[in-house]
Amino acid sequence: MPKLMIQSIRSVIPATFALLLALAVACGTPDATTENTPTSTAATMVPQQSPQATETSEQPADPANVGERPILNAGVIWLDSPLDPVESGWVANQSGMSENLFRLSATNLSPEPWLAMAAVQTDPSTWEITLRPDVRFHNGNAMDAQAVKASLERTIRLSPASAENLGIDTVSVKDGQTITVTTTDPRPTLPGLLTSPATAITDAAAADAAGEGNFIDAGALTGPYIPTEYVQKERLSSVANDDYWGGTPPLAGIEHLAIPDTNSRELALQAGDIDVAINISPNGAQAINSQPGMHSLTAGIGTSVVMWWVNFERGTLSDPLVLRAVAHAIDRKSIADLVAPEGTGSFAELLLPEAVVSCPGVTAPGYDPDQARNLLAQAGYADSNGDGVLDKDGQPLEIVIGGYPERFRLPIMAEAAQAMLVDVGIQAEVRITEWSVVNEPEWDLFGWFNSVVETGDPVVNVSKYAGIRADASGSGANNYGHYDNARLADIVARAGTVSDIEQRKGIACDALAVVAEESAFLPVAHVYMVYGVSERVTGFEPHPASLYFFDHRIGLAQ
Amino acid sequence: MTSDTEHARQTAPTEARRNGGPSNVGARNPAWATTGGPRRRRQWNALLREPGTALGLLLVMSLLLAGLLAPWLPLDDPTEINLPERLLSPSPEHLLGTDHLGRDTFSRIIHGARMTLLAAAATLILSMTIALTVGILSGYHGGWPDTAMTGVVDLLLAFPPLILALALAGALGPGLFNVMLAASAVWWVGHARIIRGITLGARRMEYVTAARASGAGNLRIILRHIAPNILGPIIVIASLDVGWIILGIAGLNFLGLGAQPPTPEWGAMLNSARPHLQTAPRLPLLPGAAIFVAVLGFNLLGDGLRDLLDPRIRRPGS
Amino acid sequence: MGAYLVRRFATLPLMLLGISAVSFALLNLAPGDPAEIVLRQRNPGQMPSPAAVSAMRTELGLDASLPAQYVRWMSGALSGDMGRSYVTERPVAAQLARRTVPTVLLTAAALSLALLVAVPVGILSAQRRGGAVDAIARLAALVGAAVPSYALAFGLIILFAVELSWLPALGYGSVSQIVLPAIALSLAPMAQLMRLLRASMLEILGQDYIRTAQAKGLSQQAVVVRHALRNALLPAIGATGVNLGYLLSGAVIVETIFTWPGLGQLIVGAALTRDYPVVQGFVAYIAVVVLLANLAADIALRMADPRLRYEREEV
Repeated sequence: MPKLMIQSIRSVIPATFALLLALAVACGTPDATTENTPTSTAATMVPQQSPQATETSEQPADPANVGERPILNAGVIWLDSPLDPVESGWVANQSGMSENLFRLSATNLSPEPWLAMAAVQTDPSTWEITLRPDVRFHNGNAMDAQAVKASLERTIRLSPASAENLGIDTVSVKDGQTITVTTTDPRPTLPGLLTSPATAITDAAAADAAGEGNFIDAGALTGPYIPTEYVQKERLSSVANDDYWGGTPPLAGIEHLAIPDTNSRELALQAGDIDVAINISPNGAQAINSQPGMHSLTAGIGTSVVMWWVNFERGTLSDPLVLRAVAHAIDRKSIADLVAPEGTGSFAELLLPEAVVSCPGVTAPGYDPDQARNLLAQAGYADSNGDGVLDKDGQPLEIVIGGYPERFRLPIMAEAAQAMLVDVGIQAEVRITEWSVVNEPEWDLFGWFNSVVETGDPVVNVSKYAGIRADASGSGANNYGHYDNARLADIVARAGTVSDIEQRKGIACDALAVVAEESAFLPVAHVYMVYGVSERVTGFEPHPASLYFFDHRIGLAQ
Repeated sequence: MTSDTEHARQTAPTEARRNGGPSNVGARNPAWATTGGPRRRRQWNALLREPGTALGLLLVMSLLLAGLLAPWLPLDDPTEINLPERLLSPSPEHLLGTDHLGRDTFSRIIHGARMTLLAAAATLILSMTIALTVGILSGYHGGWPDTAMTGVVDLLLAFPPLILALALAGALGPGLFNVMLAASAVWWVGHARIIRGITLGARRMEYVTAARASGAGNLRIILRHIAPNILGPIIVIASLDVGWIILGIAGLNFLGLGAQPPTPEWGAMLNSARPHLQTAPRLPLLPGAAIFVAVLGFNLLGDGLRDLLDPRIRRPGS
Repeated sequence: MGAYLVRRFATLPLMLLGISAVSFALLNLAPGDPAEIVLRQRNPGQMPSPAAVSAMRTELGLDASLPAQYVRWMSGALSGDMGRSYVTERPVAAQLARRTVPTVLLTAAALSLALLVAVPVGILSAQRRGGAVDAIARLAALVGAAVPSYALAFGLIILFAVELSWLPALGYGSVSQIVLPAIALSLAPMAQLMRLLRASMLEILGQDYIRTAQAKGLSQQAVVVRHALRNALLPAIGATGVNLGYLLSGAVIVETIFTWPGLGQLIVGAALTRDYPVVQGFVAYIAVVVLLANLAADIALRMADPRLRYEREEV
């Protein structure tokens, strides 16, 4: 047996037994729980707060007047991506640790300057980006043009996906705070592409010097919070960056706790374990709003979609008639009302929400069970044995609806769709497992939750679901359904040099028309980011996108 | 499977040991082996005189009845959704209201009894079959097969059932059937050990030796002389076991490894009702209460049967 | 005692070998090609090519014969290398090691709590057989054994965390956070131990030497403390040792509900993603812990009770 195992056992078993025997014999020692104080650091302690005993203060805490700045506790679904932006970067962006040259605007979700001051396209393949002059990395190094050049080069070197999306050929330093970026082919949406969490600006030299696994030690990010300890999938601790260019945060730091179950997150807020619960359900919002001392907040813009991937690789839905029948059999509108009632989201006729692109006249197959039955009959299915399930060549018509539980809407969607499919004679089996099961070939429909506003560009947000690369070739990642994207790729290719946003929206509408017609995905609802927030929390502006949970303004009244 | 479940497996051997070790629990008290008509009636009466046992019997019988008759009772379809009628409070049409998809909760609870009992019965029968085969062969045959099987049983006892079942259910893929398979595959181990002990004890009884001397075949000896000794303990173990099996399977279902929606299974129902813990607490509460009642019923009945069939425990200490 | 120890320790390597074989077999029982699973996880949404699959099979050592694979896994495990997770690509042994402490804390707290309540109540219940205390204790034991831990957990959270705000609803790191999960985990073993203790206490109170002691004029309390308790506790200690394994697996559900970063949380996710190296390593790890715990309990029992000698089981 492994040494490690033996060592753990050596330390664990005798300790346990010593404890038990002592208890058994003495049979009257103090409360058992006090003897088992977890040994982890005090920093992970979640203070007890009575929601009733809170003070509601609209005044942001002034760090100068407050001797001891408070620590904010936040509950999130995942803490799964590494902090180094080149390895995804979502968590670092969301938690206010990393920042990009551009960010998505809270009002129209298009790119706006962040660490950059401005960007000018000097020719189709060249951009000049001016940088904010007063930014320092957490380690104190200045973020100048040289550092940004190194950061972008590091991104390209270490993140193949980003390299491909950005298509950057060269980055050169024009002057101390200006860089010139050339791309291999025209990239009219470069500022938007630079909002991607993987392109967050990093002190490349420090990050590389720290080496793999020591990213925190490098102090290589720029945001208002400095990471101090990160246990992936468990917790992430941070302290305020007092030299933050936007101003000193009123908090001493933020403790992020991974609470994958939505209900648990809501209860943790109500129990006072956390001050902010990110992503809460309509039921949770109801319960939270009825409790004194807390409420739910949302920007009220649908920026994510809940949908089903359609598996074209498996036999059943590769038959276009059956797929269309499935699309007609599922009442997506009613399911949307169920999982995203008013105030938390809206029905998704198309993949992208109106807030991103409006496509009058473009529709997807609607709820029409009779039409579904006709199509299935056309496809050669009949209930030959009278068991209520259609069959063909002795094979019953069965599909598997997958999904994962962390996004509370997905199990409900699956269950509702299952019943609707049964109505038209399709036997559907629900399998709620884990999101990465989407990579396995064992489903026909797979429930999914994803942002539809990334980079602020509508074309990207259609093509990313179909594995279409930035150069419009169709062999990219994330085409979980193995959808044949040839037609779509041709449409996306037209966007190559187009920088006019209205024109790009037109192209996006054409793309949406194709995926809707072919039922490449079955969108259900566009959902809002809904936060549950204790009333002690001050200066919290819910951003509609799921990228920026915390900024330097958020505070906590004592 | 909660820790509750796990005790089942160790309780049985522990109690068997306490009752005289694996030597001859049954053989020493073959009361049930020779029961005649009037005697059996007396035993039933004794069983029903204990209020706890009577309650247990009542609960179990109601459950069995509900489970068996569920498809023929005038109930709504437990899987048919009706979105406009979702989350209704209890009313004459929906005695326990409706759930988050507008399904009748009462119907789902009743059909849940059917699911739960079917799953428990299948697991019990499958695991008992394995346990009997292994236990009797091992105890009766002795020699190297016994040594080998004892070794395997001892080895498997190191694997907590929930953990092995969880791993198996994960490998086989989620589903109620797979959970039943996985649970059976690990549940038999403790029982095999007890049955082996009883067989071993019975084999040494004089009448078995006599039967063997008179040339009776092995099968005949097992059926005529060994089996009756095992029957009593098996009934006791089985009835004490059902509660744990129900808890265990519901636990795996709760974790999402077992029954998938829309199957009306209590553990799965409790899991999918979690979002309504505060806004409609009856939704998680009812399946939880159903599990509790079922387990309580079987435990009460099991206790009663044990007291009845094992006089040594019936009058402990007196 | 000596012979017993020799025998127990002599079979230990064999048992460990058996445990590793069973754990290893789990991976090979499972449907699906691990190489394909790994490739699909690493290249989201892309069909692994047959060439890539066969290259991955070579990389993972899956093209070797089963016995060879077993030996490889086994020798790796012996040197502390239990492979890497298919999903996170992190070493399994390190993940298990890090998650051991929280699980041990929770289990130990639950077990202590169970003993703390079950021992006095069980004894009192036996002493006052038929009385009010006995009736309540027996009822509590019945109820405790039948409540599903997950339902109890939700009840505890709603009552003590949300409504009363006395304790945190979840999390790990402070003393107060262990209270609710420990209670949820301890109820079933508590009920079980209570019954066990009551029964063995009743048995012992009826025995001759206790009656003799009573006849000699010792008070009831003195008899209980000096004679009965010690003997009645023995089966409880024995059961406690075995209970560890069961508690550890009960922790799977409780940890999931309370977001307790222990082994249980890890295994549920791994089982659902078919992360076989993690499942395999975890199962082997727990089995070894249970095996050694049982051994320790047996030895402790024998040391505490000289009447228990090693007897050949065949007798």
